Order: sequence, then C-alpha cells, then structure tokens
Amino acid sequence: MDLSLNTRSEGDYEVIEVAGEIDVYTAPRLRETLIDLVGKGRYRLIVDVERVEFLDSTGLGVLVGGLKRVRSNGGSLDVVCTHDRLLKIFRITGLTKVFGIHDSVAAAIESH
Amino acid sequence: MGPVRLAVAPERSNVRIARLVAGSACRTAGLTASLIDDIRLAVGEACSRAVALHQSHDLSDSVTVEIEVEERVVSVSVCDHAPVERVVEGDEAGDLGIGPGEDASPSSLDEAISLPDVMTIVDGLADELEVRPREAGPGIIMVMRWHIDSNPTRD
Repeated sequence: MDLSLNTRSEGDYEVIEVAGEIDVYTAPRLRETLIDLVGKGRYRLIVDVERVEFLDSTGLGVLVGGLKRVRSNGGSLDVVCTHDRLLKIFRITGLTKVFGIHDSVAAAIESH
Repeated sequence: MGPVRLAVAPERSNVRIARLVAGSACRTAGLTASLIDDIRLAVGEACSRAVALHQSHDLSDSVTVEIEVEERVVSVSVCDHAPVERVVEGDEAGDLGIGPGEDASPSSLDEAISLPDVMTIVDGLADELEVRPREAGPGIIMVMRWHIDSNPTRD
C-alpha cells in the first residue's frame, strides 16, 4: 500500500492525516509535506497516523526532523496513534518521551 | 517449512518487497499477527540499512534475505556486501532514504532528541540478534531470531 497524505486546518493547528506505509520509499513525501507547512509558517502540527499500516525508522526520523523544525519556531508536533504495532517502535527508540502521543486529534489539541 | 531465500537489487522500493515476502512466509507458517509485525519491521530495517550501504558504496550486488520458520524458532538473515560500514548520516542519509537528512541532524536547539538507530530497533524487536562478517567476502550478515515458545503461534 502506498502513502496518502491529507492536510486540513483545525483552529491554529494543521492536521496531517497519513494513511498507508511510511517507509524508506515513501517517507520523503511526508518530509516534503512537513517542510512545506513549516515554510508557510504553520508551526502547530498534528500528525494523525491512525490509518498507517506500517512505520519504520525512516518515518520516525522524518517526524523527528519535523519536530525540530517547528520547535525552533516555537511550535509543536503531536502524534495521534492508538495502534500498538506502531507505538512499539516509538517505545523502542525512546521517542514516546519526545512526542506528545494522543488518542485523538481533539486530545492532541486539548493537551496544549 | 523450508527456508525462503530472496535476493534484491539495492533499491529502496525493494525493501518493501523483502518485507512483504517475509510477512507472507511467516503468515503461511501460522505465526501470530504481532510476531509477524515485528519480523516485517525488523526485515525492513535491516534491508533499508543494507540497501543504503550498497548505494553509498555504489555496489550493484544484491542484498540477500533468508527466512526460515522452524518448530521453535524463526530465523531471518540479511546479508550485505559493503566493504566497511561507515557512518551515513545527515544530508547523505536523507539522500539515501535511510534518514531524515539535515533537518533532523543534532542541533543546539534540541540536542536531547536522538535519531532512531537501526541496530537499536532490530535489537529491540528480535529475541536474539547476531551480527557476523560474511565469510565469502566483504559485508556482514545480520541474523535475527524469534523464539516461538515465547511468542505463541495462535492469536
């Protein structure tokens, strides 16, 4: 399954809904989307991976890159994820301590 | 079930093929969904690393993957032919598709955030990880093992 990306605004936040597989082949597209949003001055990002089938370290690296970009502009990057198969890689890499990981977009927004 | 062997050209898109084959072999052997998820992810990580190394050394040799599901253990080996493992990071990693590139390089802004490391992930996913040099020439073989006893074959 390929990657699909859909971006929408919710108040001050940009929600990036990702579906499919984020891997070494598709992660550059997510990276471009995040860089594009930051370039437009959107520094409050929520990446919703609820419909993601697969996420590898390349995808995590892209999220880390996005987080650094928005933080350097006083922003935030939260993740919406409830699937254990994806949360496991966040745990193994220690990134559960780095990202705000939430059950829903609403919960991500309320956390700020 | 006898071993499944796969040789792929060192291209990013082939990492997904290797992952799919590993998943199919494990599914055919009746492993649980969560164990299959771990194996697919570990195979993807190991192959991404091997493909990136071959690309960084301009090697066209195939990356080989072998999957064997036995009664009590699943073994997956991923073999590369890269002469010396050198550190691939920053822009180069982004170009090769094994990392996010310069935008995730350590910076004074956020030194505390560490980048995902392939070996750490594979070590965390597999019950055992063995890394040994290839006997027939340059390169290494990463052997990952999962004990089926500790991972029941039924959901």
